[in-house]
Amino acid sequence: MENGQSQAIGAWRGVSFAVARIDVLAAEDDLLVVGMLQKDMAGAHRGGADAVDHALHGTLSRLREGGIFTSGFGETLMLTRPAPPIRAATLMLIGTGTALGGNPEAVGNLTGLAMRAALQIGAASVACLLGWSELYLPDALVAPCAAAMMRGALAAIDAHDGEAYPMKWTFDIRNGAAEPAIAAFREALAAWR
Amino acid sequence: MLTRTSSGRAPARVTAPIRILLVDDHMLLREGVRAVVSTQTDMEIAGEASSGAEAIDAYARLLPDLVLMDLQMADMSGLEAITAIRTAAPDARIIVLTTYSGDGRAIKALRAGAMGYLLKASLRNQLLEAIRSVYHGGKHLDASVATAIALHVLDEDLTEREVSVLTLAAWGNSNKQIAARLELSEETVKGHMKALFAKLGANDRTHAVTIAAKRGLIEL
Repeated sequence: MENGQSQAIGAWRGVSFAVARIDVLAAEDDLLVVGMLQKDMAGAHRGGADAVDHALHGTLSRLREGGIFTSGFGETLMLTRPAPPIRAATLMLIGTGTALGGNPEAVGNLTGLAMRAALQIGAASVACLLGWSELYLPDALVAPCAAAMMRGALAAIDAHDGEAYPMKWTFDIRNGAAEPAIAAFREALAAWR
Repeated sequence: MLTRTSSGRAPARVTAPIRILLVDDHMLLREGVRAVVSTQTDMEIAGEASSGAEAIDAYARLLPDLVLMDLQMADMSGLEAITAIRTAAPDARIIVLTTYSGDGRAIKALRAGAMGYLLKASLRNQLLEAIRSVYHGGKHLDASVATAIALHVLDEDLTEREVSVLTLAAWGNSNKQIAARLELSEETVKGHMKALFAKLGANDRTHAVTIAAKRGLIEL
């Protein structure tokens, strides 16, 4: 993965977790997961989806506007073989609805959805840019959201019908709140064991 | 980077395999897909059909988890079959597997209820990936098709009359002949031509036919 410096978090049933500042254009993973809002809201930062959409010359926003992918909460769209400059083998868009911000349970559920998809397609490396850059999280919610994301991923692994196999899963970190998030990821993983 | 999924490994399954109905009028294609699916433990071919009518019948009889549907078939188009299946079974999960990369057919198929659209040139693991993700409720598009869709999804659609006019033009009919065939005045046909030139960004009728055929807006 061509991302910012990666920090290992730990592993669970064959899935090794790390955190990094994910560069959506440089990530060469099997699967790049990006959250997308249902509509552009005044002043809202679209983060990863915005960067991908820009790189794909507005494809994502036009698909959404045309009703092909509405970005409703939990709606998913896989795009195989996205055009350069996207390097990931498959791009997975996850609809985050209209107001995901600050709801750890919702973020956790969507992370579980992404993990299930990754397991189903047999991805060996995943970059998950689902929430952080989409949300203006108050400091108090950074750790609960990180913990919920980790729990969502772990629950999906446990629920998977099949044997574990090696996968590298990277959560995106940014917003200047990396340390509390990393600590929360680690604590949630330790508590799960 | 770790090993890519092109290894085609199948997650070991404890639950029942995904039952697939394969619809294509070319036996060789069906054999190829069957061979790919047979290597996977989490999916199986539940049945095959070589026409749209057979597909509708087979769907009702087999109730598969997922349909792989060709678009171009002799008796009934895949689009009509998708519409019929989804009318009878609104939750039917259908992936179009086609040679057509134009946006016209893709948009129609997705609006008819298809949840995936793949090209027959797709790699083996892309097909398997699509089957798994659509089975679990997601949508799956070849990215080149998604790009083509995005370019035109917000355009104004051609009307049925405009499609009829352009199809007749594609077969070499003059405006006068088109007017006679459709029982319209020649002026009305000219009006339709002007409107569809504008919608397609075409300079003349040949250009319009070329664009529409390439995008899958008319059948030739």
